Amino acid sequence: MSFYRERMSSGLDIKNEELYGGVGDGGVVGFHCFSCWNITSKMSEDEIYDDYDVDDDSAEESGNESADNEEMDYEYSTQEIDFDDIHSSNRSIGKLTRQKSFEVLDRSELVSESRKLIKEVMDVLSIPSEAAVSILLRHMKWNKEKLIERFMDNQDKLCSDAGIPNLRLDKAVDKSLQKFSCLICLEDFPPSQTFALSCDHRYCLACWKLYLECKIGEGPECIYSTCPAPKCKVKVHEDAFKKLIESVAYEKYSNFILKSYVDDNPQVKWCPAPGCVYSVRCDRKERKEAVTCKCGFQYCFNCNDSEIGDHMPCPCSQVDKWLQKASDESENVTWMLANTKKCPECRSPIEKNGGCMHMTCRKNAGGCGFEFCWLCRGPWSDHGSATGGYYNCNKYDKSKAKEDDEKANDAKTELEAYMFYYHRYESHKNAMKIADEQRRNAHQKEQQILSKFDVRSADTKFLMEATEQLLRNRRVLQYSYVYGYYLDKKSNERNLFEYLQEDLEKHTNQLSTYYELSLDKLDDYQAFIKWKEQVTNYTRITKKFLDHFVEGVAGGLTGSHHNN
Amino acid sequence: MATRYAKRLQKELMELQVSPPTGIRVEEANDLSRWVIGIDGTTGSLYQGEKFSLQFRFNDGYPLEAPEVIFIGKPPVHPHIYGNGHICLSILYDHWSPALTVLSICLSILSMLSSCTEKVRPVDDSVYVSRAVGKSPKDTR
Repeated sequence: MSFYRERMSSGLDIKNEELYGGVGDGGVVGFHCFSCWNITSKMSEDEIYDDYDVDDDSAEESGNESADNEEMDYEYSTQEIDFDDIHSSNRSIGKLTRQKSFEVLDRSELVSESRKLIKEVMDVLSIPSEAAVSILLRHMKWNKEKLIERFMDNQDKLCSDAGIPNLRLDKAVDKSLQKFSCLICLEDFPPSQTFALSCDHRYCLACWKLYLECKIGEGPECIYSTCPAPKCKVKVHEDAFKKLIESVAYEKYSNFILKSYVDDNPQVKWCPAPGCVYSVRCDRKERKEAVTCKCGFQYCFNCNDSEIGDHMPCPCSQVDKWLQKASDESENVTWMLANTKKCPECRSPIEKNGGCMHMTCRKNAGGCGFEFCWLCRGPWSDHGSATGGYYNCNKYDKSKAKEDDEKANDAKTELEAYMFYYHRYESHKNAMKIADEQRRNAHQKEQQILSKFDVRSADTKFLMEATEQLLRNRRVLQYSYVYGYYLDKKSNERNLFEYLQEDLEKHTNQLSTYYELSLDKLDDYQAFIKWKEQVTNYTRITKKFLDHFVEGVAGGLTGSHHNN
Repeated sequence: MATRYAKRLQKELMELQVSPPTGIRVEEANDLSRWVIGIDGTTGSLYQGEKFSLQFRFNDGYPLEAPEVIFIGKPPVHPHIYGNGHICLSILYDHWSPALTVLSICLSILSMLSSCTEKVRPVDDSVYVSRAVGKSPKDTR
């Protein structure tokens, strides 16, 4: 993948010149050099995800062309980057990129979408009744193509299977009828107060009403209600519902119809966030990047799971495999991981209460003051450039594991490797939960800042941005360990992957550290400003690293994917 | 039963009392919400000469909801009738229609008995009976 390499090299330059020199000592850092990073930030979304589109274009073309033509978004992606690299020839300037993204739908949009579909079928099959087509579509799980095919194939069979043996849905009253006795309430009515579907099972309006409202009370299946006559399979259509029941009950009924429209439609799914009323439409079957609902929840459309959410950079299949494995082995692993974190120096038990991996064995709580890394339990001084070390905690060192126990068999190594990744996965997951809590408490912290330093409320905005960034970073880091676990242990990809992961993890931890700094430590306005700049800078840095990481992994790391 | 359908029950009851079909009679209906109907095994069937009692319980949902119908006393030995009198008949549950009546239920049960070729209890009789103690057949499905 061309631009990935481009960025990598520029990234390295910056690191040497600016990043390490400036940020590490916590001073005000000039980020002017970061202008060259704009290579990435100027890219429009479709370029970044362009790779995804390649596989799916053909599928889309064969799909709902007629339905979606006017919604199609053609974009000319203008190349703003000057690539000298030969790879840049891969992305021709002004290339027509077809970008079909997702859409968040509210109730009224769902209604108009389903109506539109009904209208289309009415036109194609020349059926004048909207209610009849609605029944047919529901019978065919809202699959227009299949419906049309079956209809052309054997109209009579389809219609009788669907419960509308006659496309004239209602039976008019026989003019000669003088008096009518309802078989449900056994009372007599003038014919004008009765109703019958095409099957001519006639009942009084009052009994119809009670019958249908009773069906609606039974739940979503009411949209498949049949005529009340014993063994009659004729379906009650929408117009009959509308005509026979109260508007409140009809509203409920229409909601069930919309529910079936979404539930039966593989391209539209309800947002899985608890209590969310929106649904999301996504035409691409294997969309890899997350969708964002109007409620703010970001998640993978395929998994559609509020627990999993967005699992970049992992593919869905890996997440599946991982969760399965985690549930198989979790008892083992949790037992081994539970209560085993003791200070490597003094063995005092340590509870992790912040998101950062930088642990301090607190003296005021009876500890020894030793600072160590939560992940490897090595001294923290080995982890940062400021203290002469380097960050290396994201790589699983197989040779070292063997050194520890030369006789360890493969199975054990495998378990160890798994535990290594599982532990990091869990750690980031927990750190994310903590960040989520911090997000909820951010407002409180903002208030404290406002009263302590007498600043404008705009000056506390960075806090929210930092928490949001932390959340995103932790989520990606969490799933990056799933990806890392399944990545070929010896590949070149792995080196690059771990390199990018290291950058992200290291700086995310640094952001956590700064972010979680107690306000008591800030004596005056100057200190606050300094702190604010640290947090702001690291928010920006980690955003860059996050983007690089996700794009790098999405692009296939070594570029072989793209060139194929 | 003070619902709008009390009238329907009254009518049904009157019909059955005034002109009962052969082999069907109202044994007890002092309370409109609980009837006992006697049925006779039809001539030529395995149950010829036997007499059974059906208990009907109607709640406010009748006839939109099916009545609860069980055999009381000694239930017939039949592959779809459990030892505790519960009856496995679809129109009493999923395939109920408000246009069905007490009479049509009785006729269905009689026809179910008449078509029987071997007097046996359902295979899961003992399991079901112990599970269904004190429960309505509507809640044990």
